[in-house]
Amino acid sequence: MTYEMLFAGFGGQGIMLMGTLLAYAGMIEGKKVSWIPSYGPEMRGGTANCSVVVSDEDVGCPIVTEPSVLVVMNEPSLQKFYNTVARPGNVFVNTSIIDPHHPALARLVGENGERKSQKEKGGGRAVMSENVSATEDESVIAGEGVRVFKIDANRIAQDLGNGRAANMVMLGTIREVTNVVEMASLESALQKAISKRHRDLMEINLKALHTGAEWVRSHDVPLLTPAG
Amino acid sequence: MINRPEPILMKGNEALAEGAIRAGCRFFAGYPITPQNEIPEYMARRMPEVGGVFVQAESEVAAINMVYGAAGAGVRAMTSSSSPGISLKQEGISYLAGAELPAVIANVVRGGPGLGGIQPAQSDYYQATRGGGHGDYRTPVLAPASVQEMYDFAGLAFDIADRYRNPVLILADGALGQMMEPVLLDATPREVLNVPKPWATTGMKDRAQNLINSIYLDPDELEQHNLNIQKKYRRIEQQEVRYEIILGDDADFFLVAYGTTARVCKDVALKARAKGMRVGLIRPITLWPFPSQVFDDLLEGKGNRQLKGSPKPFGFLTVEMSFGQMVDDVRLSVNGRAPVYFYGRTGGIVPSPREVLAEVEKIYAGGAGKPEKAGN
Repeated sequence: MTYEMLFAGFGGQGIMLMGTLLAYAGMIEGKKVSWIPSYGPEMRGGTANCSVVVSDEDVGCPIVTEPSVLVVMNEPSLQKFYNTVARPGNVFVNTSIIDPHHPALARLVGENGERKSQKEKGGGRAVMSENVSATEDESVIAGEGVRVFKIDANRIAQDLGNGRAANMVMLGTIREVTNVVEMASLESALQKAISKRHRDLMEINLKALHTGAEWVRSHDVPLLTPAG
Repeated sequence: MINRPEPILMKGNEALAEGAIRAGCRFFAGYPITPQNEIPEYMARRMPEVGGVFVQAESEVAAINMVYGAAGAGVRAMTSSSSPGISLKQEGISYLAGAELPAVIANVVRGGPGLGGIQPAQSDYYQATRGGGHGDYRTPVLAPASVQEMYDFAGLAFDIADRYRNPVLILADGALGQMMEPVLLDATPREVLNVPKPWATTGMKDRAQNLINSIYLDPDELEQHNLNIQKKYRRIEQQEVRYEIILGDDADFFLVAYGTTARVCKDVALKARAKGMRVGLIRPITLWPFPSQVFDDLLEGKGNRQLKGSPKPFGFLTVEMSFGQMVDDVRLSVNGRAPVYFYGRTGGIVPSPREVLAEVEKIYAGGAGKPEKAGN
């Protein structure tokens, strides 16, 4: 199994750390891993991103161009990468910053824009257009071999006591959905990655990881079915 | 840093620097340039810990000449830079070659020409493999393709440099420098090849004067000097060729690529095989000396054990992050015995497995046109 993952957002949102922790956790489990940042001038203000590959096989190209896991923490990242997602694929969207009704999200699951009218007509759950399914609160939508997870990550982190742990909330959801690594490995990775100076942040980060995982368990997530 | 048998996650640039220090490098001079800045940064921190010297020089030219001085004193010395900075160092590298001084120069290549960009490229292949500076000289060139090899080849480069009294280049690229991968550092202190350096200018005590120079004003003397170093290059060509053949056993077609591009091509070979095309990969590890013998073995069915009983390949596709430089060496090696195709991206773009696979499919379908003209 090979996971090709792309993490994207503003500089300062902990994008690089998310990727590093996953790579670290994969390494702890004896998997082959690679991590590579975008290091271009776009890091000033625009999108920062990193590619992570976690695999049972040797990693070939470390630069992920067709991610099976896409994590977008801001709107420019969604715009830039939504049409690169592999199928089957999972997309994790920070809806604290990105509009949960952003048209790119509908396009990802193959909606043709008729969703609203259908809903007005039929209403109810999971019948927005023929091939699109969704959880009751529509925070997970699926279709065309793609699932989109809409996570209000900053608010969840704020409720836990520190909005800056939004990246860890996202990471918790990613782990729970994809099973790319074990939670225990992520916890060990966090222990190693957080410097002594920031030991006080350990607790909130761990709590955020587990809350993210819990978010997934509390949703009736549709199965990932192949496109077509 | 503690010796640990378990892997640690490191950037390629850091691994290269740590590998150099563990190989006994005790002098580093450099000048900042992206995407190799982690090398001097790491050296600045580590060198004082091991009793070595780190200098941030006032320029690339100064840095390479400081390396000339340190190497002359018999110290394992290195510098690193990226493409435009390496161009500036060429005079110094030529002097190192002329004076027969061992040193290591790492080029974490970025897109050119001129200042170009800061993203990965392989457009310095000609410069690296044809000497680079003025005069008839060569430098062995090692091309790592993983963070582990960034670490391992630093030590290997110093060993080759000392063994032949010659500067050695490590030709990486921005992706290899910036990426992190697990690295196995040596659990015990690395065994450093200890080549005696009786020629070094260590301070004259009770021996005859040593003189390190590259000037020979008498043409007979200079020609003799050149004959001597050419003899040395022939020895290097015989003894230091390194390469890897991936999925070669039953391949009837070969991709040829080094560094980051070789990683992409390994993906491509696997994907092509899933579609029924028996694609293999030749990955030159030394770019000079180039592994020409491999092509003979493949095309003449000679006794390379790795390739025994393999079918004669019907063609080769060279993939580079350039408009075609290594492909010249592939053509020279193949020498008309099979078509040689080329595909390249430049400017800092790493070719994606998908686009290279499309090129392979085109060739298998017979639609790639004349190989001489094939390319991007």
